[in-house]
Amino acid sequence: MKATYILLAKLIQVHFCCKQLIYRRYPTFDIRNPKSFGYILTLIAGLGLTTGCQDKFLELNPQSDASTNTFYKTASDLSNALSGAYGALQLNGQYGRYFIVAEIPSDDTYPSLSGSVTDQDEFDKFYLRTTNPFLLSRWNEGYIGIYRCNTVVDRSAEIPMNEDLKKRYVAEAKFLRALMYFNMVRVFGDVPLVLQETKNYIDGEKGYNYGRSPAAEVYGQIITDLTEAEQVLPPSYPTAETGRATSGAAKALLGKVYLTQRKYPEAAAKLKEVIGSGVYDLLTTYPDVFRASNKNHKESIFAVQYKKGNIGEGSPFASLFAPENSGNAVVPFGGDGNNRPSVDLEKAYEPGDTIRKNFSMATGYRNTSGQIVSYYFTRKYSDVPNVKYDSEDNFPVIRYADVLLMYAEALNEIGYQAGGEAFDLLNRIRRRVGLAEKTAAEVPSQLSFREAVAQERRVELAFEGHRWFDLVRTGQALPVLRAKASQIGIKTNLTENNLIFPVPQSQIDINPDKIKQNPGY
Amino acid sequence: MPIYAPDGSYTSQSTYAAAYDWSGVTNPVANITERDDQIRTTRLLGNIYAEYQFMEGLKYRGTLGGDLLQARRNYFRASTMPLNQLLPPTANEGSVSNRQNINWVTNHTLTYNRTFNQVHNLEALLGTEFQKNDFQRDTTAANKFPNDIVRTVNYGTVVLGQSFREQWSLASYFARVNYNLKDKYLLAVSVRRDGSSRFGTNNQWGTFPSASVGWRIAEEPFMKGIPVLSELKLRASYGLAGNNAFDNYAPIGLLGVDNYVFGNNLSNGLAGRSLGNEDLTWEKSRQLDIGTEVGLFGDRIYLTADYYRRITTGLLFSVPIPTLTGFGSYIRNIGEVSNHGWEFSLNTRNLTGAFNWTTDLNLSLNRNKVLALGPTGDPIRSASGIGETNITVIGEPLGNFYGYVQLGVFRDQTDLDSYPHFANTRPGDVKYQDVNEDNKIDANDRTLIGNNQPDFVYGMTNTFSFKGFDLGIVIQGVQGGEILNLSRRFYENLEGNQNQLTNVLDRWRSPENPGNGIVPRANSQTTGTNNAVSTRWVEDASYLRIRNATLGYNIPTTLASKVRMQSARVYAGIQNLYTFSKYLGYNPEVSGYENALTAGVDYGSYPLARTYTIGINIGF
Repeated sequence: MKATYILLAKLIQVHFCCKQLIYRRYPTFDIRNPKSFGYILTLIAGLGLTTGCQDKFLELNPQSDASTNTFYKTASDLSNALSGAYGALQLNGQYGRYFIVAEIPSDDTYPSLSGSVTDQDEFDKFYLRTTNPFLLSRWNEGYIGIYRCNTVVDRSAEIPMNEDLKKRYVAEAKFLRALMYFNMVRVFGDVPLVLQETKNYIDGEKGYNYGRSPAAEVYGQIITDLTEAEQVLPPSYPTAETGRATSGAAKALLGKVYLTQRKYPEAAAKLKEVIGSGVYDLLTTYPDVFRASNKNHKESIFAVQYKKGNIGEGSPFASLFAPENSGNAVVPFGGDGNNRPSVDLEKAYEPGDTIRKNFSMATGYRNTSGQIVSYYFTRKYSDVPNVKYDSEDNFPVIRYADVLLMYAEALNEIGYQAGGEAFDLLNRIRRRVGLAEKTAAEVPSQLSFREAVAQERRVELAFEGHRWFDLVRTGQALPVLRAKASQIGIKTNLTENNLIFPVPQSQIDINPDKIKQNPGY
Repeated sequence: MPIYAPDGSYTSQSTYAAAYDWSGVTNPVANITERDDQIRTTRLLGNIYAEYQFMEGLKYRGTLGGDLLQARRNYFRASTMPLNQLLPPTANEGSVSNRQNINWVTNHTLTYNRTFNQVHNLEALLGTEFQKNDFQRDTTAANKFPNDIVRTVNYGTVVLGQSFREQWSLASYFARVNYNLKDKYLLAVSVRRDGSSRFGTNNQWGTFPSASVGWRIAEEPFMKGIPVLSELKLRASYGLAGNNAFDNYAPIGLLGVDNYVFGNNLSNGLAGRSLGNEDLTWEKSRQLDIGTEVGLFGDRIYLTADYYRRITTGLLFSVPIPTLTGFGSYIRNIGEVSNHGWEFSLNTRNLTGAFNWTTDLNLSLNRNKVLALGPTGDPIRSASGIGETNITVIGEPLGNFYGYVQLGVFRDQTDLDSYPHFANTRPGDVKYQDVNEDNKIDANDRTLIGNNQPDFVYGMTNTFSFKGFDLGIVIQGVQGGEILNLSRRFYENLEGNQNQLTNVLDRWRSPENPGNGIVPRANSQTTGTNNAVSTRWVEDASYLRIRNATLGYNIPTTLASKVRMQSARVYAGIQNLYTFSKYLGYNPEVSGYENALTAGVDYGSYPLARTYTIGINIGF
């Protein structure tokens, strides 16, 4: 009996924290002695009632995850949080499926046809349901990214570290926050302007206090963030840090924001600073801009970074865009046939523009049996993956060619000048791909120059997520798409209401007093 | 489609080029033969205890129990396996995973048991219990094995290494007093205090008292004159109880990994992925129970009836918040739900003697209602499989199905023009009800369209025995309640890309041939949001099932003892013999989304197996 008890006691000793206390107090413990009754009571009490002990017994911290309570203490923690904010760029709701909100609605591309799933078709033909899942992930994952940026900004204050580095981290976060809000406001119009970290459930409940801020106010915040970022961020980084936001990226994005707001002198000034910085230049050949072996080059201003190798950082676009049911003929493991170029886009490439056209898209492929299969698909992102959705290609957010064309556009909007600087800018883009320069005779007015820039942007920047936003920005979305309505199969009479997309139904349902739907949905 | 190609290799869907890139049905024979998937589980249970009697009636008992569960899974998919679009040889892959669960529990009680003056029976208990659970899992996966001969991961290229660990602990103190006077008047009072690691450090402890009284009327002298009555008992109880069946680390905000790339090198990224709630505490319920037991003819007929009413407060739910916070939900104690119901059981010994027949009947019904939800009282919308499918609203039972109401099918253009519809709806598409009567069909027209909770459930067990033979038949049934059979979104999608239920033969074909007015037209690309969550997928969940029938024979002891056996029984049984049900899916007992808020959603759940058993029981 005693032996059993001692064994029991020993096991308890191994496992529970308070045992020493008891045995220290009662070294001559003997179960056969009726006086031990008192000891037993102590044992029972001691196993739990000692406060320090029971708290420790019940205080179990996660073993396989870090807790937000104990994090954000060091410079390294802040760096991790910032990388997490950059990581949000790769989310499907951000750049991972950017084409769904940025290209499918335009006249450039249309979605794969997959059975009953109309989720992408609704963007293409304008019959968006407010419950569309891509719309929901665009909203949710936009805000996930914004939350991460807010976290870096808010938590930095309490972290003791090199102040310059801290400032730079905060500026990078603000750049990202501005970019993410820019994409939100262009897709949804007025959006809630959240600028504070959601730290715990009490902050979570405060989410109900947010209504939709007017787009102008959101743009105001974007400009504030970018203005601060351009002043703090360095013009470039050492090789090991490339991919981070630079002052050039902040200026270029600010230029684009001003252009979107039709503030042409401000846009021209910012874009001129980018050009004047001397950091960027056009690459000599067009395909080199997109080569996986040649990332973060002189023409790249800001790009979403990807890396293959099955480490969760691969670029999905080669697999997403390769033809469906093509086996290994185009890309190993097949493709999903997303974001298919339209015939209209094919025709938009002027005769002789073969470099850009043949590099960016294809109208067919040779299958494994050697037959030619007719199929329009995007092939701008073409690094061969070893695992599906795991290629090396970066996704360009802003590149120098975009800056040159934006600057040309801004200059022309300020005032057309026959054969002026805007012509030089436009022609630099055309010269690279072997096209004839545009002359004042061919482009004799502000209106025709505007059209020439739009046309050049369409083919130069195809499949890079610009076309739809360019159409909306320049007021051309309605006339252009109305003219092609039957060709695209658009299911409604397009109005201004179609230029911004509906707020996800679930986000209205959860807070109907504060979050109202866009008109027309 | 044949199993094997003429050359003896497996066929695959790719031979019959599927129109879509969906992962289709792989070759089922190859699935069995070309894939090794072995799980070996070891479980060790140990329990030791010590008892000590201090004096007459006062006893200490201490126990220590351990439960060790170890499971190892070896998986290998050979290169001879055809995959969805690919014929062999395909890429082989393998993995090994280990799971270990260790559970310790120690329990110490002091009991005092005594009868005073031969009529006062007293039993008192004081105790404490501590329990801790530790779970760990790791997985290593590899591909590019040079051949299919060596199948352990060392032979391939390791592509995945994962590990996971989580723990929980529970501490309890409890006391109980049972008292009865002459075995006629019964009283019990108890209280317990429990602490759980699953709750916020501010609120880990809960106190739960309860009391019960009983009166065995049949023991009263004035009842002795009724010989038919062998038992008549009234009892009542009231008590508080706590529930902590929930995630282990819900109170703690967790960070998730989301890496990025700088300078073409991986950069570790971390970001919050769940919101903490340090105030999280026990879900508490208070329950009143009133019951009676009646025994007649020496308990040959024994009836019990109970009524209960339970109010649960502070339910542990994941509640949604606006996602503009960066989070979709967090876990909190929320709302109030009432359950009340009746439970009846009737046990009869119909025949006794050489031929013995007993019948056990039971019937119970429960009514469930949400009394309060979060601070704003907003409904909780829950998703299962395809976005919002259920909604929990004050005044209604938990987890109603949520969707559109189908009125019928648009017969022709005139019909279409006369009623609101989706933008791309055409004649032959589903006609949904404009619930909010705003002359358009949109997400606001979704409403409550059914619930999984039954009207009542019942069961009957008949046992017959005769000269060593015994036969037991268990019948069980559910009446009322509905199932949201979402699988039919595929089985009746009418897109010509896979097999369909025969229901679709009654589809709309033309205004002159409109079918049964429920199934819409066929089209390779569904229009009119025909396959949305709607009453079209809601089915009656009632069923009656012969759950088990077992016939056995006990070999006479005289015979058995000759071979030194004390007893021997041979038996044969069938589990899930037959189910009477109109349900179109496999199993009306749906369990795809086991959550109180999404009960009854069937989105491709497994059929129930029928099991034939033969066996022998030997006792030495």
